[in-house]
Amino acid sequence: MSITTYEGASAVFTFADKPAILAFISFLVAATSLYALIATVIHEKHSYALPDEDLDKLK
Amino acid sequence: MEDKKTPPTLEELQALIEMTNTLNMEMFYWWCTALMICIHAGFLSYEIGASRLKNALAAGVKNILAFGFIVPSVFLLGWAIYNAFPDGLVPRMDALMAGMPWSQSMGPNIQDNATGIFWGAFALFAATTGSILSGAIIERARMSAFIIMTIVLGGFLWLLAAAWGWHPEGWLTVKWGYHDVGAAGVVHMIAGFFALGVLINLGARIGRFNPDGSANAIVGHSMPMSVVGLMLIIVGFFGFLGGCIIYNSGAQWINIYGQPTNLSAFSFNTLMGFAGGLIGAYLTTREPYWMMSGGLVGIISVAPGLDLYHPGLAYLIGMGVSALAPLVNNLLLKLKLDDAVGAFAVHGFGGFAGLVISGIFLAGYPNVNGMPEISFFGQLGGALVMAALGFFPGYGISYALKKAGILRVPAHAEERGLDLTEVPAQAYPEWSSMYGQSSTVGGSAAPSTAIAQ
Repeated sequence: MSITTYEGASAVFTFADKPAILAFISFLVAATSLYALIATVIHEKHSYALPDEDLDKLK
Repeated sequence: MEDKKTPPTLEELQALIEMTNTLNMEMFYWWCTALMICIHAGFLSYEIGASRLKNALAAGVKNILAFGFIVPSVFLLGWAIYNAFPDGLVPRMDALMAGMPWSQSMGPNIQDNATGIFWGAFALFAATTGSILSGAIIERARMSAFIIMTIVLGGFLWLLAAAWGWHPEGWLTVKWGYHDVGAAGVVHMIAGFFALGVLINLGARIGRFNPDGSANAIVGHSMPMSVVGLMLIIVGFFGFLGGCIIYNSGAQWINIYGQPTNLSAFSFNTLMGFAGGLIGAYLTTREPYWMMSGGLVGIISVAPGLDLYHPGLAYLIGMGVSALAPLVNNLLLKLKLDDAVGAFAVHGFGGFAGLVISGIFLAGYPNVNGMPEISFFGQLGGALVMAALGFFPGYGISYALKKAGILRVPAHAEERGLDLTEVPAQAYPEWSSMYGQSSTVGGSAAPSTAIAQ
């Protein structure tokens, strides 16, 4: 928890007073995006290699 | 007996006015952002409709993914780029750090009603750039390559362009008096020229051109879906253009450069430019796809001077530029560039022509804070900067992806269709049982090539 009262508070979000944790969370956001990109590449590679008779397995 | 209320003090009234202004500002941009989502919905419908049956869902997935990747990119770095780079390529470090995701303003903050709401509007502008690219390259670009390119374009590049030309202290305005209130350059040209650079490396869809260089029509499976999508984009433009004006508490609205203006001006010229664009494209094509695209061209071509044009002039500009846009698309076809939805003609050419024309009609209008007045060469120079800033990164990144062999889908996947190949769902499950397999080339109409045939 970053605040104990709303009186005089400004940033009220989780870990607002812990920039290292915020940086780590931001890293996770970036890493998740990268993971989704890699997952897309793997999915493409797999699906392009499927012979025509196996394509229905995707449906 | 009635209680006698104590009248509020001047300080209390002042606080009430300020709070009302702040909340009005917040609500205004909130709804602008909501309307801007219609742009993305419109592009979704338009691109699905412009795709052949065998690629309909893949086009949709690509467009949806653009949103999913661009928004966090703008959060992680894009917003900081916009705030830090108005001087060129050397960042303002304090502004850079203030825009980073661990900054106190980059999240719920009860003392800051502005950052999140402006960030949201900018994220939606970013999504628009991604959608512009998305349409141009449908039916043969790899999803992964598109994701990389759209992150670069929407997450970072357009924000650098906005820092230069759509910022109160952007160097293009400070040095050249550049004026582009409706983002014709920083959004439309950047995305349109980026797409052009990509198209050169991506190549045409299989079957698009004959060995003698003539073009075949590759038509989408649903022109009605595309046309409705284009109309949705027009709806979204009212949010987009509303987001281009600044709610200035206690005084008049101002544009992004600090010049006084109002929504009334935007209303006149947006609608007149749109109407002119519809008529211009109708005169040269007679078909609804290009008429609606022409409406977009009309708005984009008057966007630089929405705050200053006479509405009649906006109509004429929109009509003239829109009449030429389909011809520009035909020119691309002659160069064997397969822009599936005419994205370059609409956004790249429309934005460029609009900026150059604005240099003729707006020359001599003053800027504020001692910045140079609007001039023809300032507008032309700004347009050339936007063209270069869009084109060269688009060309470079797509060239690198091509060399790595990951820009384009394999030929066999393109021929059998991307839906069948990579999407675990079917757009129209009853289709094959009713009509047999869908055709791979051809159809009933010719959206992007109607006047080329």
